[in-house]
Amino acid sequence: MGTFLQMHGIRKSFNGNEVLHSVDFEVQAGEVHALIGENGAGKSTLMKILMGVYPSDSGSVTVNGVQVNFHSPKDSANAGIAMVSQELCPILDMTVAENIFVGKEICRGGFVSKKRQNERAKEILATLGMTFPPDTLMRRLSISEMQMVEIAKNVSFGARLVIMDEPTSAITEKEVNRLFDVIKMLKQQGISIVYISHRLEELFQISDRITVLRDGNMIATVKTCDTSQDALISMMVGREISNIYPEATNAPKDDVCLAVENFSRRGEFEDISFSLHRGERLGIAGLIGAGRSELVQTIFGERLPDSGKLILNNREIRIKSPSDAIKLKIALITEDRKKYGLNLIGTVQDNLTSIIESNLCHYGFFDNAESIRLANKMIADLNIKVRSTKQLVGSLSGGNQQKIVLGKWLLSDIDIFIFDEPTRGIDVGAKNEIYKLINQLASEDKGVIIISSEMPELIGLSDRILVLHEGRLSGELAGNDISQENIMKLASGV
Amino acid sequence: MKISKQQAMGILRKTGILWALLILIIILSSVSPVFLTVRNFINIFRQASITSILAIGMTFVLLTGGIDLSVGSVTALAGVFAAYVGIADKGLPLAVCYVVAIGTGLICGLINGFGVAYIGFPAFIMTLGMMGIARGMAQVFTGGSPIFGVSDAFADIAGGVTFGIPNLVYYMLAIFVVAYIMLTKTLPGRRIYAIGGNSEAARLSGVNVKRYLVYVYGICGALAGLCGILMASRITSGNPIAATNYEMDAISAAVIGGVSMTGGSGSLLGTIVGAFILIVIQNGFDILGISPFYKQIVQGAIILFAVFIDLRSKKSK
Repeated sequence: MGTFLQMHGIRKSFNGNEVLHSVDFEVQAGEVHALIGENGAGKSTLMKILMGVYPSDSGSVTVNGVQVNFHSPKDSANAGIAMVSQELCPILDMTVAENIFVGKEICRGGFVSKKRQNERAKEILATLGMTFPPDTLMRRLSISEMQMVEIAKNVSFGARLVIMDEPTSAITEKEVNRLFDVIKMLKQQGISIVYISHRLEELFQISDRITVLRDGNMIATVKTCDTSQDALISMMVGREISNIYPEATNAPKDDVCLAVENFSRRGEFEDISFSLHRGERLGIAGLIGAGRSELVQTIFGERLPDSGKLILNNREIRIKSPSDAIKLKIALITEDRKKYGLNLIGTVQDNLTSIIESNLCHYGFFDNAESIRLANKMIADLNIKVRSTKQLVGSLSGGNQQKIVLGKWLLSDIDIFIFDEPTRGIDVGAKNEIYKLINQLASEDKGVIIISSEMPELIGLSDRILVLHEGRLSGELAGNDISQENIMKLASGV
Repeated sequence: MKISKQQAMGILRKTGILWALLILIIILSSVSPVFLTVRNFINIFRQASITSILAIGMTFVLLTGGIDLSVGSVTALAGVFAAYVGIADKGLPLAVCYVVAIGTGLICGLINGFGVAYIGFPAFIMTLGMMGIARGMAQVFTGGSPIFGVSDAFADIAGGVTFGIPNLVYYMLAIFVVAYIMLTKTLPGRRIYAIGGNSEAARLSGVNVKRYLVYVYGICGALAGLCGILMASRITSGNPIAATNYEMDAISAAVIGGVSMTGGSGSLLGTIVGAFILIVIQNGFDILGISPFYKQIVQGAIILFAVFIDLRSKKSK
């Protein structure tokens, strides 16, 4: 095994700000090399330079001992470097085979030969142990399967190094294991993997070495077997985070603030009943497709239930739209912040005060000064890193964007917070701050519901956990019964 | 005060369209002595009035991420109705003409809004349909020939002059001021930007997106209705083929002024400057005796150029 990729002394500036300060990065053939760092540490910039999306200001890139100079992703693809990005963008209404051969269609006499494409696609999928037929519509696949198609496609077209950006952020535990099997298979074929992830515990299962970036500096490259999660975290944040899941300061109260009774919606969830207490942090666990998000979206009024009722502070209520829910002081912090949570072309101020806007109007006129004051207060309270209240939200890092989403709800007077995947794709430091915030809300006697696919997170945060399995409540865990094994058992319906 | 290069570039980018208008005026002034006269400027303002009012309504719709192709036809329909009730022999008060015209526009706009928000027609399709329906109704109502014989008071609505300035210009200024305040200082204005920025996020933040869309198309339609009576007054008749292609001028003005076709960004100031660029070119060409056909070519090129600049500045961010 030799060195496949060597990046040396890479520097890059945007608008006069240097974001990479002479970074070295090296990957062996057949190695799984994890690249970690907080958001904004420079991981994606480094990878974009490798992919030829940006040129570097200085430094050299060597592939297989030959110095290269990539000007576009096409150049890097020719050198055998491919990327499976966090947000896959397949053509949903084409078949698997057509997706694999987009841009490289197999033609006969000027016509695309679907038959040959399907045959070839089947072979390609089989090499990774995938068995679904190549003429399946992409739309019908799960995210994990789409990911596999993407990997299969890259490898079959000669990729020798595959960059995987947060590959496990949107897939279930079971699918993660399958992904790891595929990664091991690729390794055996001498293919290198650059593995980017915020989930540190995974790295110990799959990676050979780990490189840590912080603020554009390469902090260290270590062998995975020689390090620990705590050591990695302190390298990433430059300080010790003693306990990533802070202890709750007070216990839930006895009075119920929200009760859900016999909630059903066809094809999504059935006969769900539970209650949420004041000051309680209630976790909802389940595999993807178990109906967790659908359940909370229905509580929030995004859609109507087929049957069942909601009782808020001992009074039956009807919620027909999100604005009804907000009036009743219920908030849903959605899982996909870019799609559902933020106006990316709006300013920080626009977004932070978007919910309380109507309260900021006097005689029909919007009180801009007050809006700015409140926005600045939230920026300070949540330690949001922005240049000004006028900065566009689209230009912020994931962690800061998520804080903006939280901030806009915190500014309004909310009693029940529902978090759907509150820390997806954000770094350890920001995660820790969000955990603290959730605890703080609970200590103020708010009711908090948390959905998370990261089990350690759910366990670390919740006083009580409900587990859904295929749309039904399969169990409830509290106290010492809360464990990964118990959740897994209930979630998979064993 | 020291200004960094970046800030200077930012200011230049924000006001770039204004500079373009100034340069245009300087060029035209230097090639024609007639151009830079008070009389001609009053003329330009008069010519710009109707286009500007339509462009203001269009800006509301574009900001939500929609489009309204029907404004030209609705202007014509409202115009023939207004002229019909404004015929001197009928002796009806002017207020009736206003109500009929603006009401016609408002109803068309509300139907557009309902179709887009509640039925789910794409805005392009809904308003394309309305474009045909309104124009057709105007033709059917008039039998294809203009309605003449409006009262003098009716003709004075737009044709009159107050303090040396054409009445039309007052309408434009009043509408502009109200619309500008609404978009920048009030709740509905902020909601319109929020909906255009991300309608799902707005909905999940408690905004009744559908209702706002109905309002916005209603405003656009009502302004087209107002333009209908202004137009009919100016040409002293209700002409079913009046205001043909005016929707394109309105869209062009907004786009040249930097309003995004995907919604959520842009300003009314830009739209007004965009409208004036169109009219100044037209006026300049008239003065210089250049065929109006060239105006179309130049207008098309300017739109592409304005959007090109916009795309480049977005990329460089």
